[in-house]
Amino acid sequence: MTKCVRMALAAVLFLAAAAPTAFAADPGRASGRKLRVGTMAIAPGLPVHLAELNGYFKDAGLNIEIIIFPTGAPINEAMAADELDIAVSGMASVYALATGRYTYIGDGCITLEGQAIYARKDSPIAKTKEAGKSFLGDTATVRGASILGPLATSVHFMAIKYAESFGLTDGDFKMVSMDYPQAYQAFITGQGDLAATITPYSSQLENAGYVKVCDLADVMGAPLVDAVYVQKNLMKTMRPDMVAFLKCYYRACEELIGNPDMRKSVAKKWYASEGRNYTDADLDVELQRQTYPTLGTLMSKRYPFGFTMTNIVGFFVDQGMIPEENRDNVAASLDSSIVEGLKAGK
Amino acid sequence: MRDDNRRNQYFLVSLASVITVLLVWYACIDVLELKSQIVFPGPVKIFRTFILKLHTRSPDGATLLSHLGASLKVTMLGYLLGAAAGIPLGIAMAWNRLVDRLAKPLFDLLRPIPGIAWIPLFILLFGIGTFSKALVIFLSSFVACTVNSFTGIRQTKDVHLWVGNVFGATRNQLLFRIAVPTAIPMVFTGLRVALGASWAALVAAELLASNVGLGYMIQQSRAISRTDIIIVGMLAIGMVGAILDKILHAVEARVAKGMNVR
Repeated sequence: MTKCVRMALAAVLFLAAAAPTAFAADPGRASGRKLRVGTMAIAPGLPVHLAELNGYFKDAGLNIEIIIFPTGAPINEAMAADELDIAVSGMASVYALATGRYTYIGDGCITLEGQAIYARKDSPIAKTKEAGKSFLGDTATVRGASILGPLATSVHFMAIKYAESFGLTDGDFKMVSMDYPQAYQAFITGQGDLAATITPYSSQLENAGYVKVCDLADVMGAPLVDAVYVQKNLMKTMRPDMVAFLKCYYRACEELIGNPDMRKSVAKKWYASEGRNYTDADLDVELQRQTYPTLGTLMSKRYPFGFTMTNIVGFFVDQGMIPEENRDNVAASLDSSIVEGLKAGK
Repeated sequence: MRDDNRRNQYFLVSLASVITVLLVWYACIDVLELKSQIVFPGPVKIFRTFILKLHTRSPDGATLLSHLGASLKVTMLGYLLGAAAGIPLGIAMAWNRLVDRLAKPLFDLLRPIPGIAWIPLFILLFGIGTFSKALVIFLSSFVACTVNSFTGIRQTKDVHLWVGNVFGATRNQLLFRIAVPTAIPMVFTGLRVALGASWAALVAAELLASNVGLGYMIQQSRAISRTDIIIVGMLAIGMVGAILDKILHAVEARVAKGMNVR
């Protein structure tokens, strides 16, 4: 072999050995591969929107596509179809986590109150109250009532718990399946006996003189904490991206808590662009009723990691909505390692 | 004897095709695990869920038969209303030019609008009860019945009408003694198409504020990620639709005897 050929061969071999190292991704850096994030254009999704708006994702080397859904159920479907990588969603996440296919990596929006059931002023339910209860209604008036609201959401959970508090089962009332805007419209035009709804419809009903019979906090006894969950395989194949995403998410959460005026302004504009028109009064109410976790409050005594999901799965198993054999999948899906790392400043 | 053998052979071919589909499905999901059972359950799980739903109310609040009964009630109401309105209108449009000119523009405007698009309006106008859902189904049934009745009358051969004229038949006699009998096969075709369309519109109708019914069961199961129940609902809709079609075909064979109906 001539000298030139030997040198050329050596150069090729050297480059072949060096190339993977030269182009290998820094294991600690985000990969830059597109990540599809499913969320809703309401309070739970606001940190995601703010992070995108302020360029946090880009600065972190993330390539994020945000896809908006009306409720958590279609988010679950999209995750099941592998059309999403990350879900920032509400109580409906428990159904997805119960399948055992996802990893719960972070706590989301905290709802203190504001998800409530409303009755008309002249409704018998609004005029009765059982002793020892903080909410209105009794067994006789609630039995057979029709409650308008979307299925498999926190308000559906609230409706079942509300009826249960009177010794009734889900067969003793009618949960009429409707999305929030349709339920609100139907209720104010005289349909149904009760409406189970969320902000801003809850504050609009209150302003219009409807009577709040029950709040989620009444039946849950604790705030409702939303979920950030991801496709299981991504924790292995794209962990730095997951870390970067949560870092940006909690950074946005802290900014939203620290700057209420900015939160109102960003929320109002975003919600309107997605077809939800909130007044300033609606947003004031949302600020009172819904907050966000921070690195300081995460994994605290008040907000143990993933406690809403682990607490409610038993209820849904008892209702037959989640198969018994899937019960333990929810607890098994929790992975607090990223949050622990972020808290430790890593 | 030859006809019986042929019929048996056709039956076996039909049975074989269903069994083949089931076997392929089983192989893909239960054996090869091409998809997770959560995303797309296999036939064994579907069968177990079907049996369970026959006597279990959870997770959607009613048994399969209760849901089926509620759906049949809504569907039959909408279907019969659609047939009752569509058949006379189609006949009238085809027979009377004035009626045709009056009705056609509005009919052509409304025909392409899917039932689901009417849902928000129906909630506001008629509330969330059975009638609103039946109206969504009515629209599917009405269009099919009108179009086929119209076509059936228009297919009446001129020579038959001339013969009627020669024998002094009045216009009404021409309609009821010649045109309508001629149109019966097409009317029944319309009824069968309308039945299929009505049953297919069921899920859309039950998006409109329902708390029972096969469409509601599918919606509820969708919300809680229970694909097995969704498929059970779909199969129930398919099977019942096929049975109803067979019943209608039997009625057609008796009523339209000798009119190219087997």
